[in-house]
Order: sequence, then C-alpha cells, then structure tokens
Amino acid sequence: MSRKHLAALVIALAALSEPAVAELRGSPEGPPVFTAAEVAVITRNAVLAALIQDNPWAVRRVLDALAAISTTPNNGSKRVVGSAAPADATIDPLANPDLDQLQRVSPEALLDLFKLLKEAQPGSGGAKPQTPVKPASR
Amino acid sequence: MKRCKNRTERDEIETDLALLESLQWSKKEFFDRICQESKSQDEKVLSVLRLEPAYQFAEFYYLLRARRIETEDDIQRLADIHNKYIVDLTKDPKKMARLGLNSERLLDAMFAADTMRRLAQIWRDHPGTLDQSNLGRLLVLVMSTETCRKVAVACAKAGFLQREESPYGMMLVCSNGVLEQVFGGCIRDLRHRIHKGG
Repeated sequence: MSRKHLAALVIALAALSEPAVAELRGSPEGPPVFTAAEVAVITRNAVLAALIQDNPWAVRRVLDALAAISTTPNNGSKRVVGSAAPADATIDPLANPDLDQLQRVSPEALLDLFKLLKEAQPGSGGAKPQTPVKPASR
Repeated sequence: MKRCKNRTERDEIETDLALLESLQWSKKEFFDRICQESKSQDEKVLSVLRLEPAYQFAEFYYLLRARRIETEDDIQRLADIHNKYIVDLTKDPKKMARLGLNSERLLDAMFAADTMRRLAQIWRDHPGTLDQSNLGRLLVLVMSTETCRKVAVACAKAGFLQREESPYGMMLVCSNGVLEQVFGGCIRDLRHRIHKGG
C-alpha cells in the first residue's frame, strides 16, 4: 500500500472519528474481532487487505466508520477528498469498492457550483439558455 | 373528516414516492446511457463512468454549455466568480469544514494571474478547451484533482473528451458534446416524467 493510500485512509479515520465510532470490538491488547461479513469487506478492498497486516485496529476503526456512515443521516456531506488530504491521495474505487463511499461529495458544494455557473451566465436573466439535449430513444 | 384527511395525506405520500422514484430512475438512466454511448466497453472504463464524480463531471460540462459559457470573456467571468467564491469560503471555516475542504487546497484552486491568462488563451485559441489543471480548479468543490483526472481519462477512452498534451506540456481537454447531450436528455426526460405524474 502506498503512502498516499495510507494518508487517505488516516484522513478518512480522522474525518469520521466520532464518540460513537470509537467503540472498540475486541481487546486493545489482543487482535480486533471481525465478523464474516467484515472479513469479506476486507478481502475485496485492497487498502484494507494491505493495512490489516500492519495495523488491524486501524482496519477495525475504518469498518466502524463505514458502518456509522451507512446509519448516519446526512452522511453525504462527509468526505475525505479535499479535507487535509494531498490532492492525489484518493482511494482507488476499483480496488476498494467499499471505501469509495468515504469520498462522497457535499450536496451543498454541488448547489454552490450550480449557482456559480448560473451567475456566470452571460447577461444572466436576459440570455436564453441553450439546452443540449439528447432525449431517450426508447 | 379524519378519513378524508388521511386520504389526502396518503395521496401526498404517493406523489412524493413517485417523485422519489423518478429522481432515482433519472440517475440510473444517466449511468446506463453514458455506458451505452461509451466507445470503450472495457469494464475498467465503465466502472469509472458509473461513479458519482462522472455524473458531477457531466453536469459541469452540461452547465457550461447550457449557461452559454462560450467566449473568452465568459470563461474569465466564471473564473473571477470562482475566485471570489473561494475567497469568501476561506473566511467561513464552518462552511469549509462542512464541504470537507481546507484553505490550502482552496487557495491552490484559485486562478492566479498566470493561470487566468493561460485559461483565457487556451479558450480563445480552442473554444471549449481547458487545461486539465484548470478544469480541476473549477471542480474543486465537488472532486479532487486526481478524481477529476481519472474521470477525464475514462471520458477520453469513452470518446466523450478529446484529451491531448500541448507542446508546452499541458493536458488539454475538450468535450465533443456527448456528455452534455446525455445529461441534458436525462434531465429533460425526468422533467417530462414528473409532469406526466410518474
């Protein structure tokens, strides 16, 4: 696993750390406990599979964070990309399908971008918008 | 009376559900259609096209076209508005945190005098063309530069973008309009579907 991936993962953990997420499963002195479903997630995500050999407790925290995301309202606003991460420290979604949800974008940011382009429209309010459209053929 | 009220509320919920279904249908349609339109059917390319950032990427290009950002003045105005927004955002730490951004990254995404000149010159010489790093700047709110690069590469392989290196080492990207058409078609079909009531 590259330093960039590790950095992205650490930032993911930092961004997602909440008291409810910090609960540990297993004893801190011993190895963490993983369910069969969690083992499947680790196996299909390259970053987790690499990390578990060096730091199984970090993997435990990532899985807890992922579980928190799927049960927390407004989780769409949490993301790793663009926080303290270096610009190119994204997690490869192909090799890490379950970690990709950590990179979701903020709906507020999407709306802001929409408004910026609206403001930039020449003679906004005056010019007729040109809509490029290719309707369904079905 | 109570039964009547309940029926009204039930009707409202049914209408809400129809809208929700249409919204979900529309997004699914978008991903189906861009994968269908893709010249490459390589699963690696398709899997990037199916990612959420591909939708945001297409939306950005659609908005550029639909909002008629066409001339050198238009793209410079957009960059100025973008710069002003970033300056305002850096003064609002709470919002920065909500958007998952930090000031270092935002300042990198600003158009300085030299990048602004480059943006305008490329657009003037080849209308609709952006240096990939400037495209990343304009999309800073919604994706990282690396994600932007990955989506641009997948879109180029799919035949939606022309992506080539300039003699000065810049990666220039230009849409051929397919992404915008697919996105626009999905939005229009969504609107028609909602007007028809599901």
